[in-house]
Amino acid sequence: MTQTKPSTPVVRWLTTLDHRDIGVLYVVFGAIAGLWGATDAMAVRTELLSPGLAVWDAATYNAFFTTHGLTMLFFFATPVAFGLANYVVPLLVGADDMAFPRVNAVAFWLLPPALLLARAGIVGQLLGIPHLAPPTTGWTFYPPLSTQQAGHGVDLVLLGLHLSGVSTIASSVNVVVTIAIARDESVSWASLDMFSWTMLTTAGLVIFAFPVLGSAMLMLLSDRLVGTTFFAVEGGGPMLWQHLFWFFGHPEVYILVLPAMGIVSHVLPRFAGRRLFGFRSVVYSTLAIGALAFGVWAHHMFATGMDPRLRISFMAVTLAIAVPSAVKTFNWIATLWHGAIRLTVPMLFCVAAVGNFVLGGVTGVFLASIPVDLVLHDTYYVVGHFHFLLVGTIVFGLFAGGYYWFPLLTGRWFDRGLARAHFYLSAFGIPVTFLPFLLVGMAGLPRRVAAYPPEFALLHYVATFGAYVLGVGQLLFVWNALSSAVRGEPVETTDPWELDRTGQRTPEWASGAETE
Amino acid sequence: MSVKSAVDDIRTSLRDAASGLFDGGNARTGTPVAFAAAVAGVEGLVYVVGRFVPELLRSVGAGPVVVGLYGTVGIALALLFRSQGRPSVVDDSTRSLALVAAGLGFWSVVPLVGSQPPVPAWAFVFVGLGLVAFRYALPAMFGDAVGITTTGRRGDDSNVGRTAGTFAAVLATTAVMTAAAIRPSVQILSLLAAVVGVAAVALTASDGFDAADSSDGTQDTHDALNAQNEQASPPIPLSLVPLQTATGRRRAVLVGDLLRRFALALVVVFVVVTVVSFHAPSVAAFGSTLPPNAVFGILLCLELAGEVVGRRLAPRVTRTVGRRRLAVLSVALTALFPVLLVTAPAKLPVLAMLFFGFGFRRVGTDARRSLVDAAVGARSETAPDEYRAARDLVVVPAPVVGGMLFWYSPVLAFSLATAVGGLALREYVRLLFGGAPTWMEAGE
Ligand code: HEM
Ligand SMILES: [Cu+2]
Repeated sequence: MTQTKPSTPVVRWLTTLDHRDIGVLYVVFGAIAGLWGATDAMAVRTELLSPGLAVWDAATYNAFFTTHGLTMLFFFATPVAFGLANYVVPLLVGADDMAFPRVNAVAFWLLPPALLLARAGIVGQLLGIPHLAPPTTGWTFYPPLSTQQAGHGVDLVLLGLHLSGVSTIASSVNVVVTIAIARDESVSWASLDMFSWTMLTTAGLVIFAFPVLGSAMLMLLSDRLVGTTFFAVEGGGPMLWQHLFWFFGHPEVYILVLPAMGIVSHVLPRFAGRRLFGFRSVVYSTLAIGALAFGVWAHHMFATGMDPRLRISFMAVTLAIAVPSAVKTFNWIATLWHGAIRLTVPMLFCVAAVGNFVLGGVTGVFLASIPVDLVLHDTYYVVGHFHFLLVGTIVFGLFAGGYYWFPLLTGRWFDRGLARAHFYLSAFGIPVTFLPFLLVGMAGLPRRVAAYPPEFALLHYVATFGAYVLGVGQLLFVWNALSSAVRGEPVETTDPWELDRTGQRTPEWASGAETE
Repeated sequence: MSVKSAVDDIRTSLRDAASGLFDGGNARTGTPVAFAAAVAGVEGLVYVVGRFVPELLRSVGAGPVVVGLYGTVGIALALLFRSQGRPSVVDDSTRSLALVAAGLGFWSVVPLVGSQPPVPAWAFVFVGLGLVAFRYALPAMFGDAVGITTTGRRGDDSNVGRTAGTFAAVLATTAVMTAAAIRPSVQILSLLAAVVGVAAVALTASDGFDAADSSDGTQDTHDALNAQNEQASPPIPLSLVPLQTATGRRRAVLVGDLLRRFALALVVVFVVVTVVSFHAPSVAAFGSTLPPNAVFGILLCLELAGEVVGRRLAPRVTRTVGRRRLAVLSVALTALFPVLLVTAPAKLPVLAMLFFGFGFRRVGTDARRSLVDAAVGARSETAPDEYRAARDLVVVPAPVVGGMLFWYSPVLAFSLATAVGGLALREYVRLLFGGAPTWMEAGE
């Protein structure tokens, strides 16, 4: 909406300041990164099909799970969430565009170089460039491992993540200002929609959490490159890193889950034919999560030998944060109660996301209990816990939003047969992949190991089967999105989901699709 | 020139496949296209993985006779499905696909079973084989929208979708084999194939009830896919009579065809064992060494390339040399392959030429087939099928016999296969003398 001079498509996409264009760019970028991260995951699962080192050596395996985590968190989930927000939040709050369109464009264009820096290691390895190998530290970069890994792979990743952090902070500032200041007078705080509330909270979390990560990364970089001792035993100590990292890291998981929860809260009621049950309590629980998220970080460090009195307080706050999460779950279920449910594709993903959230959340509550965590820490149980949330809830929420707004973003329909097959395969793949994680974890298998005792082979086999199903399912999505964006059936109405019938059409649909 | 046309052919196949994907017209074709790709993927992977399975059997401790039994059971199952028609348990393609996927799943658990005593690991291969055979219960051709032939009725029809699928599968296989040993490789690939099968099943089950669908009467993909099932060919009676009734040169064609098939069946399951364990060639490339199983993957690529080239040249060659000489050439290539393979030096160029030539025998497949059809005569519409069923009935024990010979001496087994192939060749050569008999007229 800023200026519309005719130009070639390339120039247009490179120079656009329109929040809708930038939203689409984010989503496309996120999808590409997501595919890249998915190939890492497939590589990890393929290695784990056999107890021994059947396919890759241990260092390569370590690199795969490290880049998998980094790519998925920083370059897939976050950009897709912010892309959808970029597109619909200004429409929902009646703003002309994002508050700062140029900042918005800059924030997006920082991401491709950030991704390339972060993934330079693998490119370097393929091309045989010396001193350039992917990091093998895990996404958490714990020193002393991360200060000691040779070569420049780790340095480049740290720079790339720093850049992506700058990008995320910039777009968060934009989201906050857009919602708080640039919204239309007719939209009061009391009438602000649920998705905007969650994006506002998310952006607030980003603004407080990401700078900490950014500084910690620069400190780590200077430990590596100029010999400072921030995280060396003789200096600040490795524990300092863990505190700084998780002060960012726990809010980060809520940064990822809140947009997805916002989408579920926005989409699920439309296909239940009812208003979101207890709207106010959902808003308050969102804000509560936002506040409490900064008080739980040390639950990632229960096993480090920290002061037990401190540990207890973190356990208490962690158990407390389960309450607002449960409130949301209750509200979603109550919204479905007596609803006129339409099982459209976005709705299917919403319902499955709620179910997966219960599994992931409950396993988190177990981990929050110190004695239990001391047994399960650093086992596959933890990996199972967070994958039910990250994949089962967050990715499902993003898919719900992706399908729901597909007619808005592209002006065309997706293929429903493909979409439903995508859903079946995904919904089947989640428990088949991640329940075995919980089981091998409870049996004591540590995470992040390339080889394991043969007793675990059967469960790992089942998990890999599930992961392949998930992987193939996502190919259906990619094919569907690509082919439907080009030749899908055009959407001819501003109410493609027939929301007027229940009086639930929201402002993002008002202007119709972008085609005209 | 032949290499160039192979490249051309691959390129054409890819282009056709790609335009097939994009020419859908509207989004409604999305699901069938994905389904076609999935079925082509399963078919391709079943084909390549099947070629490696004998070596898998060997590596889990099965002897040559068991390996031969794998071939025998395979032929018997194909024959059974053809002669009995589709079993009633699989009244739609979804179920057949599900069973095929389950069979592939059995193959992928073989390494898990290891060598635990109660049930030998190779037993799982046979259970898998029984289930994978349900691919013969798939319709030979899925609907127009899908446009893909399966192994259902005609074992080796050429179809762009299938060829592309097979090429993709062979390349993927070679890549995996480069990274891992035979057991993990087969496990990865058969699991992948099973999953692609699961995806195909999900696609057939995915249409129906989206609210937004209500406005436009969408056609149900599931129905479209299964519409073809009604046209399945009728069961074929199993009897040796069709073999016994022919006389003279007609008889020569039929006996020759039987011998050719028998020769191939004697050793075909041992080809992979011979290359991977007997010759064990390893090739240095790009600073690393390709293990023998990866080399076999490359050889399969070449065999497929030879096949594609052969099929493409076939019409032109038929026009210039005639059907009979072409059939003789094809049988000669088949007959020579075994002895050359077992005595060849373990060098990639030599093996490469051998496999390319073996695939190239397909240049005469259509010629040979039409000769056989003519020799059987037009007694009834199903007469050629009845003959082939009878022929395959005779061939069923061949792999086990081959296994016994192989157990005694691989060179003996492969030489004998060539000897039998030679007998087949002798019958075919008889056709070259004297004019074309009247029954052969059609087409020459
Ligand atoms: C809401 C979405 C959530 C996400 C996305 C999420 C994600 C994660 C991730 C990524 C980790 C592992 C980090 C690592 O070591 O690599 C983790 C660990 C943990 N989570 Fe969650 N989590 C969520 C909710 C919860 C909840 C609701 C609780 C408890 C009330 C919880 C409790 C824990 C605990 C205690 C650990 C540490 C386990 C250990 O390392 O021993 N999480 N979570
Ligand atoms: Cu946490």
